[in-house]
Amino acid sequence: MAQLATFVLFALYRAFLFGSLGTFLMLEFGAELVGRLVAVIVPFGGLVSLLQYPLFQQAMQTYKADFTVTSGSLVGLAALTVAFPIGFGYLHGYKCRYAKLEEQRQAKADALARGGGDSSLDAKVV
Amino acid sequence: MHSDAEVEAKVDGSTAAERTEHVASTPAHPDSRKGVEGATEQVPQEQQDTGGNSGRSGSIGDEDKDEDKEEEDAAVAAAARSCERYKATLTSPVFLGYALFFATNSLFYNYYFLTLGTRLQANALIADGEPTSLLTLDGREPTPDEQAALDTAEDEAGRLLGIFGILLPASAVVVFGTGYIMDTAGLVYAFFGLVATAVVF
Repeated sequence: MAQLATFVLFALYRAFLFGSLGTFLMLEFGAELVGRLVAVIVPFGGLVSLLQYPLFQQAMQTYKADFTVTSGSLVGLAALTVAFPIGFGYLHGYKCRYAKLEEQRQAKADALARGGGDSSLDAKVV
Repeated sequence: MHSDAEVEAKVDGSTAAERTEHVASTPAHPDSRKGVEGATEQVPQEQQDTGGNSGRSGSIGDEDKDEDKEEEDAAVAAAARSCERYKATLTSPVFLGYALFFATNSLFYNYYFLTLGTRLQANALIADGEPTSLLTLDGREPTPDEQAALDTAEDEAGRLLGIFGILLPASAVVVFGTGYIMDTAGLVYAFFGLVATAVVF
């Protein structure tokens, strides 16, 4: 049952990994560059994934089919990379807040400018 | 990005304005596809001044060439801008960070699927307190008990991989749904990644 739950989560994990690839590149760098950036990232991921074979060999030969060390190392590595979406999400939130503040400031300045214009017109009329 | 977009908008805007101005100021051509109002009204006056179409055909050809050249220049400039942005993106910390993130996680899930069968066997076959598998039997034939355990593990691996075929479209729906709701699937992905790693342990 635990294996089944893990497997289901891994299938979802895989789907989100690839799903977020296109979304992230599109939102962050624009549709114009998506094709070229995917063409860089996916082969890079493939090259790094070749490390799975030495890791497998290490688990089988060095640790006698005990996967604890290799799995643990990979879990640690993957957990470290989670810092990226969290950090990026924080920065993105910061940018959004900054943009919203800037928008409010601009709206206030526009309103003041309009108000000033109206009052000057009123003054002329009077 | 915003500044680029603004620059592009400005560039496009000025080009469009220049073109409009250019078309409006050129002698009208009956076959013109620009559709500038008033230009067609100028035709009779223009024809009167120049004595008909025959006198204008040479200049129209030049103008078409000019327009083609302008469009070509604009295309070259756009391609150059795109190249610059691409180079800048490749060395940006956000892109490099994402590339590392993607590559590490690709390795993680590939390793999971690669070792699935062997791990199930190792879980099933624990001899003398040590996990083992078909690959660590050192070529000897498994005992009947070991063989039964291996068969069970193999069935389990087959069943899980069979489920994968159903999970793929289902997970695509989940990704689409959460992406639609949250605009980006990054944080949801991070959550599932953490849960998955916890369950692996």
